[in-house]
Amino acid sequence: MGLGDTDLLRGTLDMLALKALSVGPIHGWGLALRIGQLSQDALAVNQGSLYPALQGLKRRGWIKSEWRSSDNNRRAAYYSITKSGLKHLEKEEARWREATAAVNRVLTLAIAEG
Amino acid sequence: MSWLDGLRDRLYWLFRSKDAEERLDSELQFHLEMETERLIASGLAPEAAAREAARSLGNMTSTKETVRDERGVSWIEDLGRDLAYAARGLRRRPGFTFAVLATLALGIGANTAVFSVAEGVALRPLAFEDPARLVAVWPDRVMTQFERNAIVEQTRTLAQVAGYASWNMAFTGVEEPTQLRAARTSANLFEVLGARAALGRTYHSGEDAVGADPVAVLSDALWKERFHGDSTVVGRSMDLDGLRHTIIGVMPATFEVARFGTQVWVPLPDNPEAWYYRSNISLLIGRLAPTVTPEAASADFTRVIGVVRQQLGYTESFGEKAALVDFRTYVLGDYRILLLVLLGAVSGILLLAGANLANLLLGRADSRRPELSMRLALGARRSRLVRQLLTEGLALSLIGSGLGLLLAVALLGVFRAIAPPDTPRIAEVGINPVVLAVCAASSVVMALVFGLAQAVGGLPRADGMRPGLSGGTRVTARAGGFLVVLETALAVTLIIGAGPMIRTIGRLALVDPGFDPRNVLTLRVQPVAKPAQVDAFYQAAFERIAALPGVVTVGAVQHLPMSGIRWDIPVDVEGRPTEPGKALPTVGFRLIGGDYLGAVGIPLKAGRAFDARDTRGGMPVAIVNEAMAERYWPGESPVGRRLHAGRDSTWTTVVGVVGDVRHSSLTETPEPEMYTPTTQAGMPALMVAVRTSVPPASLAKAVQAAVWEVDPGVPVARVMPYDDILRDSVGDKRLLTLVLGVFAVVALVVGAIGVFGVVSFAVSRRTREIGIRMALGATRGTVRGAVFGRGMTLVVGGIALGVVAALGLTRFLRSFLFEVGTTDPVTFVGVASLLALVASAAIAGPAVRATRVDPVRVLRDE
Repeated sequence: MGLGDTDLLRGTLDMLALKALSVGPIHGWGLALRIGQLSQDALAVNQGSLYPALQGLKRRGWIKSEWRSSDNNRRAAYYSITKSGLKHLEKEEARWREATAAVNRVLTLAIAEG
Repeated sequence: MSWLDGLRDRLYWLFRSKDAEERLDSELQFHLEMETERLIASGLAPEAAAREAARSLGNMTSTKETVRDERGVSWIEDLGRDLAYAARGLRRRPGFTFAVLATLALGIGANTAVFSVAEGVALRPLAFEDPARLVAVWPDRVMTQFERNAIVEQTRTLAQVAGYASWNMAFTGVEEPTQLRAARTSANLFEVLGARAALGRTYHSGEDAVGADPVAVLSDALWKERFHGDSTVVGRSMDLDGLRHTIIGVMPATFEVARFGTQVWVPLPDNPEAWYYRSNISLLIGRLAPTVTPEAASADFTRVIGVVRQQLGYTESFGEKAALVDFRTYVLGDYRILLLVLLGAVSGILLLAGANLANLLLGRADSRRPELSMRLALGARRSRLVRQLLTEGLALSLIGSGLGLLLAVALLGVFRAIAPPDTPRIAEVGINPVVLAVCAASSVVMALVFGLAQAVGGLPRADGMRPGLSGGTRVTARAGGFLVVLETALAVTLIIGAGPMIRTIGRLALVDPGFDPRNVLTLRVQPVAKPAQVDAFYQAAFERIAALPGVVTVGAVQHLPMSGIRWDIPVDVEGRPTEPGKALPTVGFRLIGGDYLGAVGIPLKAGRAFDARDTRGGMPVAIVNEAMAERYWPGESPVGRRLHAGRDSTWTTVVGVVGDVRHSSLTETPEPEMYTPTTQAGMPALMVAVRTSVPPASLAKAVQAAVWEVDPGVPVARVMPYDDILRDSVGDKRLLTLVLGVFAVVALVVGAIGVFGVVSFAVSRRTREIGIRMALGATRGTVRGAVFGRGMTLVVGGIALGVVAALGLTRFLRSFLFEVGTTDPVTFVGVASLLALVASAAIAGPAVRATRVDPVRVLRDE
């Protein structure tokens, strides 16, 4: 499943990026990789959508970036989550759980009736 | 994050945008490298890995674009980039840019200039208190003080009525005595108008009582010219017509009532014994009583006039045409219609200019299609391209409007210079905020039209991205056809509307006014003395002036031809009785002295001119013009015939006949007129006319000095060449005809060019289609016929529409025409054939070229 393909999933990509960053600072490429790993390769980030999404998060003050040397001594922009980002993530997670729970209930019902 | 942080962030990014771009590049570069390494590590060949990494990151350009948008500052950056891009593009196509800018400047410039005049003169309310409640009371008739008092007594709907008489007053007792344009009014004038003085006070009701102290209110211009704008002038005194007046106030520069250029306002004593009490000298201005509607006031006024007629013992016909007229309508008179006509003409030009522009832009849009398609294919977003096209339009229209504004200022200067000085409110005309707003609005509309025309015509549909497609689309084709019809119709309307105007100017240039104003110096002289002394004064002054080197001859008259003033006198011709009960017919009446006929070049046709025999004691004599001779003595010589002039009971004998003179306007037929000598029944104030053999202005000082040598206390005013007066007084129709004529020529040029451009463009865009037809076996002849037929159908449709519109338009213009019918067939047929000719030339060129095109090449281009 590709993330960031449609507007519907755009918010999801934001949430996943925040979640992945809550583990620790990382550069863009690593973040894409990390989301893939965390989902056990079930979710693949559309890399073209990742950078605009990061720029948006930064504009809203949920993450910040700084230039650091990477493991193999190359300069890269490292993103880290801010306090307001953490707070927003909490809210988003709660909403997501609520929504998925509701969707699940509908789906279960539909199966039961079918 | 607060909005302040956001703002700081955006500004930071805006000013560090180069930095930001570099960072974005290196971040994406880093991503690509990491991804490539990962893929190589997972076993891919290095080249395949690089390709795969690039593929997974997607379209680099569009990614960058999206990141920029997310940054939130991109529109400012875009604007800068678009402007730079537009400037480059426009520089590369100087022809296109010049055409667009010139069309815009012309359209907006002419429109702004004419709108400022219309706004200043006709649209802005008069500078009086509640001007909509002011009425001119029966302005078609010059009223008497006697009648005013009767009306004031009877009316129930007019709160107040002021009397206003134009008067020339001698201003003496100063170094250079002169004559002033005065208004002698009832004392309540300023109360009726609700006007206040800029300095001191105005006069109030009661100050026109018999025996009241004489007071005077100065105009701003007189105050500055003769009193150096000195604020201590209030309370000082000045001699007017030999009587000492106290100056009580100065009016603001914008204060004008009915006679423009009035220099001083003086109360006219309300005195039943005065000679002027029953003379028709006054315009009456009334203010409606509170809550009274204009209709009710008009109804009541009819009743009032009936009562007044009985009271004053007038005949039944008195008051037949009596009416209250809205004061603004009265003041502006024909100017309002005139300006609206002008405004219509200019709007027509602006429309024409707009149609030309749309055509240019459609052409541009077609030629830009490949570029725009390419950019879309490379990942540019549509909204972004539209924004860029709009920016380009805005840049063009702003520059164009700027140029237009400059042109407008220049045109306004010309208008003010050639407008007659009595044009109502000409001083108030200028570029003001209202005018600027209209100009700005028209330029923004133009910008939108530009951008959208290009966007609609130039942007391919989402499903039709075909870079390299070089022909037009159906949208532009249909728009092109519409433009042909619109452009032709507009051009026909404007040119036909203007055609009779141009011919009117041509005829006016050929009109013989009946006198020769070249090399004539004129001056206004007003001795304050008894009649016998006046005669002696003029005799001496004429002698001294005639003796000056460069002077050919000299004479005088009470009103020069074309000075806008007309005196009539009832005549009772011997042997031609009028029907009983009918009023005596009137003829024009001029008092002349010295060698007036010689000085202004009026030819003597029969009999003799006035000479030393014609004195106060001698036989009363008159000279008539040919029109009068023709009316009363057709086929006979009037010399020796007799008539009663005015209320005079003695016979006046005709001694000579002179040529007709057009006294009021070049466009009017000369009317019957008679002249009598000042030496028999003179008046002190005369216009002296001096014919010179040198440029008349060079003698101004010498002539003035000659008058003052005879009597240093005599007021002398308006010393100027006759040509200058003429330019002023004949100005009105000449100005309009000139301005309309200029517009007509502009319309002809813009219209012809526009029709040519639109039509040839519409045909040339069909090159592809023609190529295909010919490839399929059509002959050149059939193709040309088809192209020509379709083009001319549109053109003829446009011409027909235009003719219908022009018929409507010319009906409004009728009053400005001279010896040219409005539905003048020569103009209609001429204009229609001219445009048809232009259009067929425009079609023929591209049609022939199109059929010479090699079908194979056209098809390969597909």
